[in-house]
Order: sequence, then structure tokens, then C-alpha cells
Amino acid sequence: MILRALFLLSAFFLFACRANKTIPLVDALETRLLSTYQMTWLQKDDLPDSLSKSTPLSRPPAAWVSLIEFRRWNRGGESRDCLIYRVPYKQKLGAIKLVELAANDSCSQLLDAEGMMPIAILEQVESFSIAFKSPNLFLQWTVANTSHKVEIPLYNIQGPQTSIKGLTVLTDHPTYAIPKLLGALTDRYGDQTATICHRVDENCISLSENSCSRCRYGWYSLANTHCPQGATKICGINRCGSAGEPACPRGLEHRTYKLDYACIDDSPAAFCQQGLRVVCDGQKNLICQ
Amino acid sequence: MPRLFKIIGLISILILSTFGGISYYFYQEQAKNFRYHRDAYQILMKGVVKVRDIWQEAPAQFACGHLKKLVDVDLIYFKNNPEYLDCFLSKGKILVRHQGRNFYLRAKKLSNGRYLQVVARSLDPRPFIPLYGVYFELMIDSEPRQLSLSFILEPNELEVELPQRLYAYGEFRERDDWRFDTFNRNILIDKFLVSYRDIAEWVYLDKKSAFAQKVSFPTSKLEWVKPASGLSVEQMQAFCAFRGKQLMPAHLFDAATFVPVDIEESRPQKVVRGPYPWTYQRKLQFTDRPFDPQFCQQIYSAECIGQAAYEFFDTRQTSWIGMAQILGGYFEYLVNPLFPAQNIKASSFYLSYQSTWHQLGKRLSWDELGFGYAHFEWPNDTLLQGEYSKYKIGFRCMREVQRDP
Repeated sequence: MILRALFLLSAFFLFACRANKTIPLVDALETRLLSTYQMTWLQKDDLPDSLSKSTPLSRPPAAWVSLIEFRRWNRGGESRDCLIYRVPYKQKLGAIKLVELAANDSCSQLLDAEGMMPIAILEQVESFSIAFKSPNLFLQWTVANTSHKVEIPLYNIQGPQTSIKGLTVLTDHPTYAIPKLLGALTDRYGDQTATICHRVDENCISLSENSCSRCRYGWYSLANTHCPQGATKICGINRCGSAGEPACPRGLEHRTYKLDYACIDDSPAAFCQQGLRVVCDGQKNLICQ
Repeated sequence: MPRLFKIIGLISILILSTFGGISYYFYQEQAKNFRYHRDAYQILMKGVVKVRDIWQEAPAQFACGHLKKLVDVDLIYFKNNPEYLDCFLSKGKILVRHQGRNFYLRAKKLSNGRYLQVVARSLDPRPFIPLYGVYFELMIDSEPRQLSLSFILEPNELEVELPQRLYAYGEFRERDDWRFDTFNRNILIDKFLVSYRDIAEWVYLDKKSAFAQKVSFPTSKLEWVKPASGLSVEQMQAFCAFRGKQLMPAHLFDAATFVPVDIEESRPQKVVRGPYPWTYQRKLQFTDRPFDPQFCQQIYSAECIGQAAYEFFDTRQTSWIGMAQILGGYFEYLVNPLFPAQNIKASSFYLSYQSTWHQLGKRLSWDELGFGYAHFEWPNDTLLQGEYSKYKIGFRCMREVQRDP
């Protein structure tokens, strides 16, 4: 009798466990999404175009697709997670996984890694859709005929529609190498010690990525071009106008006649202090001599 | 033998049921835990929005300590002010309503003994650190598990943007006006002169900077509201650099202060402008009249000292783009990339209200070597009032920002 009762009890617990398994997983996924990705450092441009419409994902059938990479800055550095989805096909239902990336991995590398230990997984997914309308990410999935919706405000999203302007939310996670800051107080263009943080040529083509946000002591513009993305920029203290230093930008529209940019001596696109002359140097920058 | 099977079966079932029970308990706990965390984050985010609003709006009721004793200060001084926000955070409970319930949040006391820490990119290479901001941690006070989140708030009230348009340097000249433009450049200018509070933060934070450590500033916090003066040009430059900015150049000061006659037209044929920041009129009404302390609201001149209070962070007379502290009051140092010797905004409380030097574009020469009378050139018509052993020279910073085209 006792034996039977114990057997029934254990069967109940095991069944209860099995029956409840999806509930914590849904919660885990939702909580993880809500708690961590609110603080993602995603750039608006990082979001795929496909996220602008919210239709259930149906292709490619039975294959894993990478949906989004969440980048997060925390007290120590950057960590990245991928949200990936196996599209259902016939009897094989879909699955949603969240996987933390190793330092040099990308989301697409995870797609054939069925066995990879995810942070959270949700299986038996009948349909799944994902959409972004700034600043919210909308996820919707169906498991056992029950639809589930999550709306995640991305507080740290950067761009014209920053979620909470002027606020950064930090999370506590593993650390990666922190990039160094650029420039020193004593750097001077004339000494060739200055760091160029964004190089733009006369055809308005950016020849380097803009890293001016890494300048330790701010940055300033040269007068070498007149482009929508600005001109070439240098980290450090601006000493423009003085001897050996860059000429100060004066713009191209201060004259009544049309002025095209050209790196030529006495260019009206720049100015120097009284007694010095604007000249074009070997770097194709206007400087003062 | 069957008895042995029974015992083994019994033990197995006991183990299984115990394991099942424990697992079930943990699954339930985990589910509760996840739900708790989800709510906790939402509560914390609601709380930080409240803190952000206090940081930006700064109602006077949360001021504490020396901030309550300040006189002749515009309340804008409390906005984006770490001293003020520390007052608010130290008061403890921040009420948040969530799903029909009240929750109380509080800020954690940090290792510096305060409830926030000023952060600056120049001192901290972590990529999420802004040029300048305050770091603090909020926690839910009323739950068994004390979950916390860390935040950084940046200032929103301290700079004004210079519109992209055609400008001109110095006083208006019908012919050969020296023009320049700022198209494709996004320029932000400090609304106010740098205060001693700004300097105190720099000195406390940037222990490795010889420039910072040699600055003398008042130890009484009541004095911190004053514009910082007595700094060498290198120290001013180093302070602005600490904030990721540049010292204010003279031609951009002119751009920010001369009212363009045709504000709607960003490419005017002529940059017509008057000598005062609040009018296109060329002549100042009160120079021919006997002195009246009312004049001090527009230009705080030498006669105003003792007659009218000098209001710190005064926002009553701002330029067309919202820049404050333009005419009168402290001298202001300007980097002049055209005429380097003309480096001091002349209009100040050292000159009589009748002086024609209380005009935009009028600059004096300072040799940058000391602060006494002999270090300045004083043209005869400045109507200098009295002679001081130390003239007070303030300064402000500016920066360019990158925006997507």
C-alpha cells in the first residue's frame, strides 16, 4: 500500500515537472529578454530590415536563422548574445534559443551548432515573429496553441530615437578587453603626434571609421573638406590658426560666389591668425605657416 | 529474492519521489524567481525615469546642505548638478507604482561615501562612459531579494547648439566684413561659464593632472557657484579637455551672441548685426542716463557692485541661441584664432556702465602671464573703474559633435 502511494507520488512529481517545464522556460526567455536586452547597446542600424514587419517567420524551413545580436556594455566591458530560431517544418516544431557568444564568434557561426548550451531555450514552438518599432522590440510566439507576447523597450538603443535620452543602463556580466582611449594633452599636429580619428577625403569618402568618440580629450575638425559627415578630425586640444597647426575651418559659403573645396595655398576655406598664411601640406591638409 | 527486489524498488521509488519533489520545488521557485526579476527590472526602470526627471528638472525642495543656503543663484544651477542629485538620492525612498502596488527604491551608498560618482570619459576608457555624467545604483528596498541596477545620467541643460549658418567675426562692418560659416558642423557651446563646482570635481577626480592639482579653488561649497577664475590658459584648456571639449574661440562666441537680423535666412547676403545680444538697435538706451540698478539686469557693470546683486547662473539675459553670461560680470577668456592678442571679452564689472566697451565683439588684450593691472592693455576710453590686484577671468568650453548626415 505504502509502496503504491509512493509510486503514485513520484509519478505525480515527475509529471508535474514535465508539465511545468515549459513555464519556467518561457519565463526564463522572457525575463532574460526583458532584463538584459533592455540594456542592449545595439545601434539602430544593427537591426535587420526584416524586423520592420511582423509576420511569422516561415523560411527557410527546418533551418536555424539568426535574428538579432544583442551587444551589452556592463561594468567591465562588452558581451554579446544571439537570438536564433529554428523554423518549424511539418511535424518538426520550431525552437528559440538565446546563446552567449564567445569573444570572436558571430551569430551566424551558431546556426549549425545544435548542441550548443543556450542561456535559454524554448521548444515546441509553433510560430514565431519578431518586429522592431523604435524603441521597442516585439516578440510573439505560440506554444501548445497559446500565444505569448513580449514587448522589450531597448533603453540603450542609440540613434535619433534613443529610448530614455541621456540615460545608460549597465548590467553585470563577463568582461572583455576595453579599447584604449586616443590622444594626449601634449599632442600637436605640427609635431606629428596628433591622432586622426576620422579621415575624410576631398570626395567626401570616409577613409577610416570614425573613432572620435574614443578621443580622451575631445576632438576638432580640420578644414580639409566640406562634407555632410564633416571633415577629417583630430583628437586633442585644438590649436588651429597658430604656426604649424591646422588652419581653422571657415566654410565654403561665406563668399558670395560659389567656392569649391581644393587644398590650395591661400584657400578661403580656412583661416590662420594674423600674419600667417594658409598652405596645403603634404597630407593634403590646410595648415598655417 | 523477491524481498530484495521489493527493498530495491522501494528505495528507488523513494529516491525518485524525493528527486521529483525537489525538482518540482526548484522549478516553482525558478518560475517565481524569473517573474520576480522581470517585475523588479520594470520597477527599477520606472524608478530611474523618476531620478532622470529630478536630474533634469531639479525642484528646489530636494536641495540639501549648502545648496539650501545659496542666495542670488538662478535655480538652473540645480539642474544636472551632481551635488543636488546626491541630495535627492541620499533622502532614500523613491516611490514607484507597479501593477497596483507601491514599491520603494533607494540608491546604494558608493565607495566614495556618496550616492553617486561623477564619471568622465577622459578618466575612464570603458566605452559606455559619456564625456561627463553621474553613475549611481538603484535597488528595490521592499523585496526580500535586493536586486540592483547601475545607471549613468548625462547632462541635458548645460549646452546650447550653434545653428549651421553664415556668421561674421567682430563688430559689423558694411564693407569687408569677415565672414565664415558652420555648415556641416554641429557645435555645442557651454551655456554658462565654468564654475568652481566644475573645477572642484576635476581636482577631486583627476589626481594625475598636474594642471588640476595646481588649481586653487574655494573650499567653502557656498563659493562653488561662482565662475572659476585665476586659472592659467593651460589650466583652462586642460579642464575643457578633461570634459572632452575645447576652450571657447572668439569667432564662435560672436556667432553665438550677435543677433542675426534675419534669423530665418541662414545664408544672408550681409550678416547685419547690432552690438547687443538682445536687440538690433545700435545704441544702448541707458548710457546717456544717470545710473539705475535696473541696468544691471542687462549689463552688470562696475556701478552695479554693491547696488544690485550679481546673480550666478543668471538666465535673464541670454543670447539668441540661449547662451548666458554674455555682457558685464566677469571677464571671459576667448581663444582668438584670428587676432590672438585680443583674448578677453571686455564688457565686465570692471568698466563703467557708460563705457562703449560693453559691446559684443569688443576685446581687450591680456598677456596670459598674471592677473594684475599691468597684464592687460587698457585703452583710454574703456572707462575702467578702480584698479584691482587680481582681475577675475572666467572661461567656457565648446565641442563639436558628430551626427549622421
